[in-house]
This record gives sequence, structure tokens and C-alpha cells, in this order.
Amino acid sequence: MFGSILKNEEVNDVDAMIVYNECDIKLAIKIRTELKSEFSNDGLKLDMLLLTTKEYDECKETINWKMEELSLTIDMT
Amino acid sequence: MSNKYDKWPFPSSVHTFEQYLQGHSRVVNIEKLDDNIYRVTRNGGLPDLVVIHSNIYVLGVADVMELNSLIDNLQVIVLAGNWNSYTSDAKSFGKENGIAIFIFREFFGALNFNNDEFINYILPENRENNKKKETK
Repeated sequence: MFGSILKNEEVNDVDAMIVYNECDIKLAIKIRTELKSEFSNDGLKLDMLLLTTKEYDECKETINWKMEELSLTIDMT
Repeated sequence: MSNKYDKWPFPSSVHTFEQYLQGHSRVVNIEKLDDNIYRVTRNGGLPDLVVIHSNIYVLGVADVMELNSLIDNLQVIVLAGNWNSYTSDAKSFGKENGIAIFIFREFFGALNFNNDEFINYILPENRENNKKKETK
């Protein structure tokens, strides 16, 4: 599983994406829910896409966020 | 809405969606079951539809699972705006679970149909493109 955090400076929101293996779907949903809650506590709105590696490969050309991408590694342990 | 899913359309998109529904020749009534969740009653013997109007940029399988958990008998997910899309796997997963997934324009075409014709509805221009691909 890997992810990207993209900060939208204009609207003070955070756009993000987790790309996960199909078998991790429940875990990915749980992580999104928890991250949204954490960001919300900091007064930010987190928009996070959850896509399998296959889904990401299919649509990566169309994802058009005009923001700098920062790498994010999620520690699953 | 009390759930944690928060990818809901902007008020202007909600207004547009409801106006289009009310103006559609197949629709006789829309009942708001919750914010962004509707029961759409159609004429011509077509069955009612339970519809969620979402605003996620790229709808994946995980989103279909989350949205399906919000209401019993969900039949349709419609994406607001022209900028949103869904993945092939999300569409397939939806079909396997009796949920049709459409972008805005697709939904208003599909409303004229039932069963397989409804869930498999493709925009006319995409039908032409598919035919061209098949003949190549």
C-alpha cells in the first residue's frame, strides 16, 4: 500500500490518495476514516481517494490535481 | 447525515440534480430519504430506484462498498459534475451487487430503461466509439 498527500493551498483542504492491494480493502477504508477524523480535529477537510493498484493504473492519466505531490508511506505495523 | 462518508455534492449540484430529476419525462416523483439519497418513482411501469448522489473525484470499489453500507437496497450511485468518474472495477463490483453506477449524463439516459438495459446503459457517443473499437 502506498499513498500520496496533496495539499490544496487555495482552499485549505488536503487532497490525498491511497493505492492499495485488493486484499487490503477493509484496512484501506479504516485508514481513510481515521485519517479524515484526525484532519478534521486539525480543522482541515481531507479528500482521500481509495483505489486498488489496478484502478490507479487505469485512471492515473486522468487524475489532474494541480498540486505538488509529496510521498507518504503508511506504516502498517 | 450522521455517517462519516462526506463526499457529497455542493448545494448547487444538488439543486441541479433535483431539477433535472423533476423535469425528466420518466420521473413522476422524487422522495428525499436523507441528504443526497432519493427514492425516484418512474412512470411506464418502471420500478422505483433508490439513488445516492455522490461527489467523489474517482469512485473506486471501496467507495461503492462504503456507499452501499449507508442504505438498504441501494440501486444507483450517480456522480455529480462532469469532472468525476468511476473505475471499471467499481462499475463491475456495482453490477455484481445490483448497483448501477453512472456519471450525471448517463443516469438521465438510463432512467428510460429497466433491468440489464438500465444497469448497462452507455451514452450514445460511447456506443459508437465501442462499435468502432470492435470493428478495428
